[in-house]
Amino acid sequence: MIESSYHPGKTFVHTFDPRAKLFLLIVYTTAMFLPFQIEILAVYAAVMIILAFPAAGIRDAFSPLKVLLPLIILIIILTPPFFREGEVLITYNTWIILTDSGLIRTCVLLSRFIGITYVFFVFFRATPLNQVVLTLRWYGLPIKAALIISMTFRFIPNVTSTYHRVSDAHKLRGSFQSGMWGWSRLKGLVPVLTSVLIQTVKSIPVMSMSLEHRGFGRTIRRTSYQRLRGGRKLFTHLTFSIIIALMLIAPIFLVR
Amino acid sequence: MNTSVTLKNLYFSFPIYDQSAKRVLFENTSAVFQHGMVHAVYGRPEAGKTTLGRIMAGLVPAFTGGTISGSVLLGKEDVLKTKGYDLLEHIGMVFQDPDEQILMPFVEDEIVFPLESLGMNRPKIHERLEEELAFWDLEELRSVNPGNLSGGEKKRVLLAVLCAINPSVWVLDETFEELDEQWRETLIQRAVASGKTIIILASKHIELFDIYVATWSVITENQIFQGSKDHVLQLLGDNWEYKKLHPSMPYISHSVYNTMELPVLSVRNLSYTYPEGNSDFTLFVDKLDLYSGKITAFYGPNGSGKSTLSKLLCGLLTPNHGEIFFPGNGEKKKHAAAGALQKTTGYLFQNPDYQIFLPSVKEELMYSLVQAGIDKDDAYRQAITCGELFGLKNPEEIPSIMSYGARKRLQAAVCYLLDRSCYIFDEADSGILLSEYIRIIDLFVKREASLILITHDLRLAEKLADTIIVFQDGRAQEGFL
Repeated sequence: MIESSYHPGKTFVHTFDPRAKLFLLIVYTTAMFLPFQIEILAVYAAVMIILAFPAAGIRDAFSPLKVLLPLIILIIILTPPFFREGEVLITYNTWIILTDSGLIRTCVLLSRFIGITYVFFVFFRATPLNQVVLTLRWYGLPIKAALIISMTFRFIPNVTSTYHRVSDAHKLRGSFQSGMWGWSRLKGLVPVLTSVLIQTVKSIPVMSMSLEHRGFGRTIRRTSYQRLRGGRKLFTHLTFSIIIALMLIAPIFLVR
Repeated sequence: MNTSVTLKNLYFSFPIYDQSAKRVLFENTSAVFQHGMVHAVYGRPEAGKTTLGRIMAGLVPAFTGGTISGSVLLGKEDVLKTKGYDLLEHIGMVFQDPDEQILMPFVEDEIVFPLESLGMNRPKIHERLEEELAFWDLEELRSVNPGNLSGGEKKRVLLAVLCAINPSVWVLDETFEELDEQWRETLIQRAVASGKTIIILASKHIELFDIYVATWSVITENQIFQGSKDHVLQLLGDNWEYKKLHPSMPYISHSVYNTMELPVLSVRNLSYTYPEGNSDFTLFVDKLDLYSGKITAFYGPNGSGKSTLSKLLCGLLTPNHGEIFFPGNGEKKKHAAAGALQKTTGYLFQNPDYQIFLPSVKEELMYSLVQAGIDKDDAYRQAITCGELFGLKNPEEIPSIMSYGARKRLQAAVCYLLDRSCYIFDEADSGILLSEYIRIIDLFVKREASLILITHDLRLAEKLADTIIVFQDGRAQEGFL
């Protein structure tokens, strides 16, 4: 989520209606949990990685993989030992290290994990936050819930920038240095994270205060300045998204 | 509607936390701020100006706790019996720290949000939004995350919000801080022209408000006193900045300037462009030399590159071209490594909490000494001596619940113990008495450190600094305006 802030652009991923994008995001996420063959899941994940290029640019397109790398390694190491049936592919003495079923399960998990991460990445990179909130409200989410989401997404980058400022401050105090690894990095992170935690906790009541000072909580009905466009474009995009959604789910009926 | 603000027999005390004594801020005090006039409320840092503003806006004690009695009337409405959100069109406040008040992910949304709360229709919101974006020169920043703006730009966003709401009472809590001179003047002119009740909570800039202010007040000894300007200054005491900046007052013990001395840090032909987000801005510095025991002021408008150069000097950023090097160490003109710069330069951030993390003053002060391999007993002795030097008398006190001024002193003491050859004070005078600020500077100068003061206050820069570096449109040059 921290990586998923809006990246301005004029590509088809950016200009596609956010209501249609949100619909596709839900269908895609659901489809990734359907019992598809590994080849199909891998294609779905690959398509989403390809879509990350227009959404985020070449430089940023791989940033989710960098963040996920430790978890990907854990999945690769820990999944195969739990699936011992099927043809044995790798052994060490009498130990079965990898079977074909273990390999398939690992690939399924990786495809799901990467695909779902990327679909959210692409969505938030190519959709401004105010449009996300308006879309949620269009689908019937109450204003308070939509505002909580909006605040959360404002708060996460805020915590990230606080972290960067605090770590800079600690670098100059000598308690944290870039280039630290392993145990010394963990030890160096303690002062930084403690300062960030204090800052974050202190900001919660102040944020509530600011919200009230901006009129949040009034019984008067709020108006909405930002609006999502309707009309022909919306119809076309929603129709297109329904066709894509059907194509995403179709293999469950076609491939046995 | 008459929107005078009337305080009657106001009492307020802060909630009591572990180890903290009961702190009464106002005790049976009364004051009147008449409708449609400009009122200046002065006070030393931590006198209670912010709390007073927040009480008027119906936010304290609702969100902070504490005990309150008496009455606060906004026209005829008792604020203490009204919810903060119901006062939206009556009173608006710009917080001292903009990061505490900014809520939305885009500048445009920040301005629109309270207008939606007022139930305003779309064309009216559009009209006010465009008007304020243009007035506060924010049109190009409308789709930017306010969290990424400079301090002065954030203040302008909050002022745009206030003007868009256009409430009957404006409370400006140290709002003139962080704004450059042009925007300070714009703000006071706009406030006066609005015809609203303007309450300026300040600790500086008397000369800016002088001709506009109808009533002068001072918060001292749990009371709000109203009277003439001279009476207010008298109540503020001898250490008041107005007197401190008087030309006849010498207060920094500058060392004798030695023209043969080599600089501790030099900059040559430097340029820097941010890799993303701020790509239009490039900083150029042809030449800068920082000498031991000398004070250099970085002066210039918001976003002119003062903080960028500071970050380059302490190795948090790396220049695209040019060199920062240590001629004093006999080094040749070759750019110093980031790690070496970080170990040479200390930085007093505006927010002291960035560097504070341990559970007691003693541990904060001992931390860097122990890290440097100093024996614990010796480190303790040095920490206690340093604490006393910076007015931190209780070594067991918990930093996170100390007053803001005390946390600033603790941050300065922590930096002092690092024993760097160069220090950057990033608007470090905010929230502390000027006399205290000057005393801290003096301590560092006596240690023969080279000091950089980042400031928007030209008068302060002229009074304290040996050299002023003027920043304009990304160019930094030695000179006087």
